[in-house]
Amino acid sequence: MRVTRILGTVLMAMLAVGWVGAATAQQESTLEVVKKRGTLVAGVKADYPPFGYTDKDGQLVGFDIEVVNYMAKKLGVKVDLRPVTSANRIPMLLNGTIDMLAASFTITIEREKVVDFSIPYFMSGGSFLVKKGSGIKGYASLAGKTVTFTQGTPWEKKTLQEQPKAKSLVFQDKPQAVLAVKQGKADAYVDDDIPLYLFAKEHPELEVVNGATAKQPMGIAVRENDSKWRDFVNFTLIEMWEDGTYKAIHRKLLGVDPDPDLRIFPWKL
Amino acid sequence: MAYKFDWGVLLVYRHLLWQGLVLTVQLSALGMVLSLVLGGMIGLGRRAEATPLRWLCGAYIEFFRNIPLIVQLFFWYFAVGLQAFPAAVIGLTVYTSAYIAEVIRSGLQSIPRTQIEAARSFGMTPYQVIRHVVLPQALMRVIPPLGVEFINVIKNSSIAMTISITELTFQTQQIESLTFRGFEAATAITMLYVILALAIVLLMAAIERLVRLDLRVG
Repeated sequence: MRVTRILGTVLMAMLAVGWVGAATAQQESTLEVVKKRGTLVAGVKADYPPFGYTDKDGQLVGFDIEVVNYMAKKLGVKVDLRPVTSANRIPMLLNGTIDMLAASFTITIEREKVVDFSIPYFMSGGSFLVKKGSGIKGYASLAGKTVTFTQGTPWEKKTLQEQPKAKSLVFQDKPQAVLAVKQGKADAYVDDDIPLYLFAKEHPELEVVNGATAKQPMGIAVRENDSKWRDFVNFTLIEMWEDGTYKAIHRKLLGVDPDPDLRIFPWKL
Repeated sequence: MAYKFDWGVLLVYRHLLWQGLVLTVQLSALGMVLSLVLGGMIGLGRRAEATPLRWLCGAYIEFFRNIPLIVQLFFWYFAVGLQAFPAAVIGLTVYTSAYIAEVIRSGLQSIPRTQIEAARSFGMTPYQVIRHVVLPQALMRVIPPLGVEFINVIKNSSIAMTISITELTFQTQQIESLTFRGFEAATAITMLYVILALAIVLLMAAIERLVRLDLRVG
């Protein structure tokens, strides 16, 4: 029968692909490739402080870059940083241009389907920027208070849902919202925590209070089915946490200690 | 890829558009009246006999019309520390008055010197010259450019959203960020701004007609 023949061909083809697939899986791990090459090629952001950005001398610096440098030091290889954008970072990893992707990359199910993630090494979410000693602990303490936002972010809607008694004051850009808190025109500014940390670092009279949303994890992405390489990345992250390097980088770039709730799996049993 | 319009969002968020429109009208109306008074005085000052006064008014004009409005609004709101609405009214007034002063000055200057000299030689006092010779003619000439400045006040009032005034343009962006329907919201405020501007055009035409009848000129 014709159908059987076609099915047979398809089956053969599938087997062949499976065999080829199995063969490529046997290929050497990126870990060996990097060691042999003597260079770790990493995709990082070039426009997203404090994770990856260009400093005034044109050098790529930031949290992710520090992590990549730590990994390279561990391997004893040089570092080759490749700036990526949110749009091209996955393709660049999949086509082999880069060995790892450390680009403020949030771990999601959709992404997990095409890449493999390391353990989470950073948690990011919404937070409150307030004056030190304001006593503001979360949405509950914002009743009757003036809260500032920047237009186009989801935070105004979210805040008024959580605390209908808050008065809102909306600006076009972040610096004006920060200034409003500084001058007491607003009691709190709700936004993504990362820029808020940077503002709090610049303005010592302000502080970040967590808890506007649950935090989302970021991970380092590697190509799928490369267990050796992913283990290396995971173990190095844990080492980085345990020897205090992580904390030092966090302090240097964000001005505060890591969130006490964050643990990079100190999983020594 | 054709954009599918959904005008329903305007109905759902019409209260935002209404609130924005009310604020824009309040802000613009106050700005127009106050800047006409202030600008009129500065414009007359530019033609004063006393040199220091002339110089001072000239400096005022150059200072306030050459600094971008957004900077002036930030100044009144953040540096001086006024409440948002007074800061917006003062910023808009001071900025516009510099332009109106120049309009007034050009109106005054358009009266030939010979007319003033002739009036003086009839024995009219300087006040009478201004009251009966210069002002009636100048008034007719400044009405059309004043209309232009008033329309600019309406449009410039949108900059007040940078200091948290939730006027018409702000509310449009609010609708856009709530619904991602920017085209519908932008179309709606375009219409509203056009209507406001046309109202000014009609108002100025009516004033011009009244002045013409009253003065029996032109």
